[in-house]
This record gives sequence, structure tokens and C-alpha cells, in this order.
Amino acid sequence: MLEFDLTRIAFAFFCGYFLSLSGSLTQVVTNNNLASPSTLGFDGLAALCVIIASNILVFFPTSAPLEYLSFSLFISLFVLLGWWLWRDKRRTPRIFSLDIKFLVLMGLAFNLFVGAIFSVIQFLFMALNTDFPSGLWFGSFRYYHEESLILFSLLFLLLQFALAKYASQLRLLGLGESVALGLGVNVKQTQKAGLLCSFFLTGLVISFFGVFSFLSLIIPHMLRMLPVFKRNVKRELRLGALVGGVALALLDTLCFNFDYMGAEFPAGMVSSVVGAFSLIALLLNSQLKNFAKD
Amino acid sequence: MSSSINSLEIKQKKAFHVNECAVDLDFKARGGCLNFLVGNNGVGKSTFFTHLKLNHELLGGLRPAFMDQAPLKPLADLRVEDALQTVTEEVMGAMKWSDVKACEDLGIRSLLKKPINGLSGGENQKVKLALAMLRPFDILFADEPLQNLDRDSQGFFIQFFEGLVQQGKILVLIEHDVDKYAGARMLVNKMEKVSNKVVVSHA
Repeated sequence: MLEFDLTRIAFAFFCGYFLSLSGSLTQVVTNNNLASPSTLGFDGLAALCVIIASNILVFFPTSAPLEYLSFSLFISLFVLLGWWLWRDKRRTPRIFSLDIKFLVLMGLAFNLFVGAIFSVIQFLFMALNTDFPSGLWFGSFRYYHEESLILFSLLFLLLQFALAKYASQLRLLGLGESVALGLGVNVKQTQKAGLLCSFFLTGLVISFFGVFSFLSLIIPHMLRMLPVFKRNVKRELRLGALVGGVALALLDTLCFNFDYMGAEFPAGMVSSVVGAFSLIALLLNSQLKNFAKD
Repeated sequence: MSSSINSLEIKQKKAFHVNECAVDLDFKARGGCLNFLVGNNGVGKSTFFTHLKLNHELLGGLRPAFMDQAPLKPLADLRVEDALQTVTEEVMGAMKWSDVKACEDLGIRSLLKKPINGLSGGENQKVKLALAMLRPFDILFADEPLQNLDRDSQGFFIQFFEGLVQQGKILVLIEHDVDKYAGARMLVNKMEKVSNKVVVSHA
């Protein structure tokens, strides 16, 4: 018989929703279906905040919960990025003001940078003979503060309004940015808003529940295998993300009920493994298709 | 319904920059003939179109339609029909795309169910034009519309454009080889680098 923890299911649903939405958003605004919060380095930055926050807690114990501390750190980064993106108000005729190659390379650099810092900190913990808080590294819904649910549901509602406003423009953007520009879409603003939103959502999930790599890359791709979502980006953004939420809630319910030697599988670990394999399969498959075309 | 305005003149100093070179515009287009924008590769012709996309007020109330140079390449695996439906729904607020006549005029009826990413260069070109023309327009800007086309299709496009001109639309075409349109009435705008500036001027 399966057991259910409704609060936990709600958290898993919201996180799945936020992650799939942020994945779809990055892919639409960059018009690149390999862009995602993980390839753009949003994951890495947010994880860095968690690492720094957990170290602050180890060396300067306070009563503040870890997630709020790392989230505040992340918010300051968010404001910085937002300021940097919004500062430029010129209407330049240069298309793609957010250069995707630059973004992806920065993402790669950030991910490597975070990996390096991670090993330095691991070494310090080893030298000091303390246990490394490795539980933080995999996303899991084991620990939560019930009151955070208010924040998550408010954000969920807010996103519904934002999507109602931007979904049409995003759908047109899915045709290509130059086409969208010709049809009167405010491309630059939509791209900035989409990227910032995606950055924020990823940071929120990682600060509160840890890293769920690849989930936001893989779910949009899986959705697009279904004709319902494939033909309509708006539907993918508005309904597809809900499907992503349900998927993560289901995965977490399974993790909650089936353990290994008494240790619970972190949902983030399972999703990383499945996601990484799917990504490799996807890349190989698209490469093979290209070969077939030539 | 055709607009009463039948010409477009744009005069603007330092309108935008191409490779840190300021561009001065003295551009003219009028109805009743084909208007061309010619110039060397990389001088900023496409950028000029983008400048117009971003600054509609320069068009003096003319409703624009744009046909880009790059092939249509949507993010998801859309079919031709889906792309037409997207623009119908999101730009015009209509429920269902059903303008079959426009498709027949362009000869893309048989392509409707095909995925866009699988179209040939010429087919993609036609679908791009169909998308641009979905919205009512007075002036059509087409960026190298004859690229990737075989001789027959080139003839088809030239005739199609002349038909549009007869309907009272203003056409502006970026083209390298104006000779392809031999016999048509035309107004040529030249875009060229003069000392430290790029200048668009009409003859």
C-alpha cells in the first residue's frame, strides 16, 4: 500500500512545474532546444549559493533556515543579472541581443567553476574531519518547512497571470526571433523576461530542495513528442508545465515509498540519472537523423 | 481596401550603425513599380529591414509585412499548417486559419501537412511569404526573395510580385541581381559605403 504526504506532493508538483516551465522558457526565448537552466549555468550559480550558505551556517550558526539564506544570496545575484539585462534600453537593430553562444559558454564556465569550488570545500571538510553535507547536493523533498508552501503557491498563481500576458508573444517567438520581430513582437523584452523568469524559478527550486539536473531540459523534449504540445508552444508553456509538475510529484511519491536499505532515493538523483541518459539518447538520435538527411 | 498613401520616403541621419559605421537614410519607395535596395554583402541591407521592424513610426502609417532572408526555422517540429495557425491565432486573434486561396495563389496547398524543417529551400521561401502575407499589409519588404529558387520558381515569384503591385501594394526587395526582373518598372535604392559612412540613396 502506498503512503502519501500531501504537503510533500504539493511541493514536488510546484517544483516540477517551475522547472519544466523554466526549461520551456529558455528554449523558446533562445530558439535553441538544447538551452536549459543547466546548460546556461543557472543551476551552477544557484548551487553555488547553496554551498556558500551551508558554509556560512557551519561556521557561523544562526537560527535562519538554510533555504532562506541561500535564497537571499540567490536573489541578490538575480537582481544583479536583472539590472544588467535591463540597463540596456536601446532599440538596436542587431538581432539576438542575448548572444546564445556567449551564454552557453558562460554556462559551461560557471558549471566548471562551481565544480572546482565544490571540490575545494569538500577538501576543507575532509581536512577538518567534518562530515560534508552531501545531502544538499541531490534534490529531494525530504525536508521542508510547511510555511514555504504559501510562497510557492503565490508564485504559481503569479506565473499564471504572467503567462496569460506573454504566452502569445512567446508562441510567435517560437517561429524564430526575426519572424516574430516582423510580426510586431517585442522580442528583446520578451527574451529578457523569459530568461529572468527561468533564472528565478531555477534558483528558487535549488535553494529550497537542491539540484534536479536535466529535468528542465528533458521534460520539454518529452512533451514535444506528443502532437498536442508539439504544434503549439503556448500549450506547452501553459499545460505542459503542469504535466511536468505531475511527473515530478509521481516520481517523488515513488521515492517516498520505495527505499534502499532504509535510505530514501533522492528524487533529484533519479531525475539526474534518467535525464542524463535521455539527453545522450536525444543528442545521438538527432545526430543520426542529420546523417540520414545528408 | 488599399491605403491612400502610395509612397514611402525615409530621411534619417545616423539611423543605426553597421560595424560601427553610421548609416544615413534617404530611402524612397512608391507604388506602381518594384522598389529595390541593392548593395554589397554585409553593407547592412538586412539590418535596414530590422531597423524598420523596430521603428514602425518611420513607415508613416503603412502596414508592413516582412519576409526574412533566413529560412523559416521554428523551435518545435511545426508543420506548415501549424505555423499559419500560430500567426492567425496570435496576431489576428482569429480562431482558425482558413485562407486557402492565398495558399493556392502561392502553390503551397500540398505542403500544408509537411513539417517545416523538412521543406526544400524553395518551398520554405514560399511558406515564408505566405506567413508574411497573412496579416493585411500595404507594404511588403522581402529580403532576397529569389534565393534558393530554380528558374521556374523565380519566374513565378516575379509574376506574383508584379501582381501584388497591380493590387496597389508597395514592394521593397533586397536583391543583388536586378537584371532578373528585366522588363519590370523599377526604382532602385543604393546602399553603399562612402568614406566613413554608409549611405542609402535613390537614383
